[in-house]
Amino acid sequence: MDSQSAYNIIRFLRKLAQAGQAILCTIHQPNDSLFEQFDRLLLLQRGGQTVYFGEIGEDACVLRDYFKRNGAVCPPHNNPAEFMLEAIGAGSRPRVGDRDWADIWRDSPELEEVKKQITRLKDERKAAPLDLKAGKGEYATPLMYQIKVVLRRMNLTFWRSPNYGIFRHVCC
Amino acid sequence: MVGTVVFLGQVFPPNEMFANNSPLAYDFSSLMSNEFSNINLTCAGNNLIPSGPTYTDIANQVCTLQGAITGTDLVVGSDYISKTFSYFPKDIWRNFGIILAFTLLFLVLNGLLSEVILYGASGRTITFFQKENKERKALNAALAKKRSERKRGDTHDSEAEKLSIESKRVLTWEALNYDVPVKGKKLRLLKDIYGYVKPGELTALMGASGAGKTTLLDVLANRKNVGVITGDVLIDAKPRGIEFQRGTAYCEQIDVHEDTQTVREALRFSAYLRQPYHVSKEEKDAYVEQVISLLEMEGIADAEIGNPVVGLSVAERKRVTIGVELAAKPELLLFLDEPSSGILYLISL
Repeated sequence: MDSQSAYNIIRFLRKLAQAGQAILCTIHQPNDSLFEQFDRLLLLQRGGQTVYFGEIGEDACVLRDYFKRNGAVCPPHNNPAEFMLEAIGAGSRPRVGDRDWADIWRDSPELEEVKKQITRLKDERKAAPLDLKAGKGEYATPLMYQIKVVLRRMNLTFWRSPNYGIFRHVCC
Repeated sequence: MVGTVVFLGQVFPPNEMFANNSPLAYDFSSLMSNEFSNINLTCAGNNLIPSGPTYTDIANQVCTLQGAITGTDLVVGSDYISKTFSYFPKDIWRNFGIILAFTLLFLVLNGLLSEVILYGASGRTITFFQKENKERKALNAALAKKRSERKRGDTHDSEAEKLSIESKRVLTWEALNYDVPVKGKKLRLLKDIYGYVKPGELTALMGASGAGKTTLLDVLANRKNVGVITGDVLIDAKPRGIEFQRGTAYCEQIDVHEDTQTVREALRFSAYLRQPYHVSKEEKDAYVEQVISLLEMEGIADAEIGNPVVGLSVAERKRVTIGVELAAKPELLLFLDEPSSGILYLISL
């Protein structure tokens, strides 16, 4: 996909988030303008270990600050997303610093803050009134309705791909 | 050679229609001739007439194999295949030449045509549109009006406000570990991960390839059925129930669609089946129109999805994937796996 289309997709996601949707999205080496659209970042390193979870901030300032405090200073005009992947050793160069970034995260005040925040969120939501509209059961619609809708679509598909039907009946 | 036969299906026998046009026929002919020209077959048992323990003189017997000569039980291999299959050993190198000529022809054609024909390009491809009926005409007119309003900036961001997701539910995960058994040992793919996703927030999941991004996404979306997950994954401090996946939507990296559907039909199909049953059809249809407008798909709403050669382009297909998931009105969470990479599914499969 070209960068314009990629930017559009992320722009739609941004719009959705504004409408109140919660979105979690894996992304591979975004450029500057894409990266700015995100609110929060979960960064993993090899072995499924967390390197960072938290806000990105305006012009990635929160993220840059975290890396700076731990010994990896991002030059102001660099792409922060690319920079931090390089810094943790995910790129072609060896990682910055002599400590494993997962260890740094494990001892960081940020992780403590995240844990506290999770507890806060859970307490908040426990106190909130129960959402009665939330659906029960595995499927949203009854079986007979599902069969009806799927059958209709299947028939339409056969109708629109005449090659298949003709070949099946005439040939073999 | 075996590969070609397996994938092309058949070798045309000589002297039949198409045989002279098939490189495979020349190929096979040469191989057979080469094989048989160096061997002599010996006639024995039932191939001799008359046969039996008392018939010992070959002068009184006849071999039934084609290419046999009376008075001897030896059949020359080249005679056998030239009589039976019309493969002539003297043609081996002629066939080789013909195959070379075919190869050259196809290479040249390939080179020339690839200049002329754009095959599966990510740019514009041919797209078919469904004819407008009364209903679709009205819907498209409404969409076009909305679009022009947005372009003029009259109603800035209004559709985002209209498309409101009321849910305030929060997904949290704590001390999340994920182990899979590999050769009798346990391999830890995810280690001690903390995090949360709140409504109204766009969270990026990044990392080197192989770091476990997609794995984490799958674990959170409850899509893993092997391995052991430990730690808490909670919605509003409660464990995920059987209805969890109804509240979530997951856009996979590969865009899988029913080719013959139009975009609007695909979205409606998803809305009919995945939104709650008590919501009326009219409401669901109206919601689909909102999704189309939000994803700026007004121009392709009635386009057949098709395949990447004849149908929507890669970027448009990705938008349809997101649209289909959105049409289900996921009240909890929207997962996306690499939405900006745009892998052509034909190639990646």
